[in-house]
Amino acid sequence: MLKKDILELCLLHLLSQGDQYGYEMLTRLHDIFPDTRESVIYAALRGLCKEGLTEKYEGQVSAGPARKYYRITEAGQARYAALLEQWRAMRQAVEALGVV
Amino acid sequence: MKFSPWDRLTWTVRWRFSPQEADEILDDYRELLSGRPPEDVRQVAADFGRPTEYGLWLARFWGMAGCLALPLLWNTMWFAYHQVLSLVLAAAGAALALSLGKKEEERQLGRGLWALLVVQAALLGAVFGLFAFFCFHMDTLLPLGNVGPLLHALLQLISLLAGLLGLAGLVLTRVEDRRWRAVYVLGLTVLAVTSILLAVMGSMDVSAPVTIEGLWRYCMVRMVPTALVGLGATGAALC
Repeated sequence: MLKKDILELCLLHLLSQGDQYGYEMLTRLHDIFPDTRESVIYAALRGLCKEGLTEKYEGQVSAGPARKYYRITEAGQARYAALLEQWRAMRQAVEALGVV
Repeated sequence: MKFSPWDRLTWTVRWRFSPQEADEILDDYRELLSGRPPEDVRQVAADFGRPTEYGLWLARFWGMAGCLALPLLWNTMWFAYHQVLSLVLAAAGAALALSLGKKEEERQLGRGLWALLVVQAALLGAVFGLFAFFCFHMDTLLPLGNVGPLLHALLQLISLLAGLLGLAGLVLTRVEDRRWRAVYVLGLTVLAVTSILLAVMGSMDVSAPVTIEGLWRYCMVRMVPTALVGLGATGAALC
């Protein structure tokens, strides 16, 4: 599992909990992975959109300009499940070595 | 003139991505970076310039620019004709152009592209036309004097126009659509064909043909195949 996959897993996980504002996701993931540049996280988010795993829409915030929100698609849910399985298998394998 | 970090980000994104993708990315970043300090914008612009894939493209771009710029310089300078090297560079430039990037979503070819291709094709035709005119009307032209320098100046002008249009095609290949490379490839062809003629004109080789028929045959045997290969490569570049 590559770092890119872990980023995708995190993005899809956030979106599986509800629609998210792009900036919010970027800053949240950047806080968790401070060594990863925001542009890399944005590229992962954009990649998910291009693959049809997420979709973008304009949402209105009270007394504010329209913002772009992201939501997960059905294909995205399937990818999320697959990535989650990979992640769990990898974690188990690493734990089996005694790494905690 | 001072450019803002946002201007730099705009150029970088427009340079790296197709127009549609660049619009989307800039639209996203306009929102994501709103209210953020200029350092953040600068950082994003720098990030877009980093990937290896982009570095490779840039290396290829400069390679292609060199394949066009060197014959252009040689053709427009008096005594520096490198016929064989011009042909090798034209072949290398065309090969690089044809190996460019993955296929983008198909769009209709713009009128601008066709217009520049027609101009380049006209320049190629002009090289052959000029040569034929000077070969077969030599008797009437000779008494007028300065025939050689006039032909030379016209070929230099053709080289200059074809080279500049080719460079424009190369830049537009990056920022517009990869099919603009056809203008670049046809520019290389015009330069290569012109370099053959200029090399013969500037040659000090005593074994070179001295009759008009001999000169015509000597040049056409080289110019026609070069032009045909170049036109074929131009057609492939449009696919």
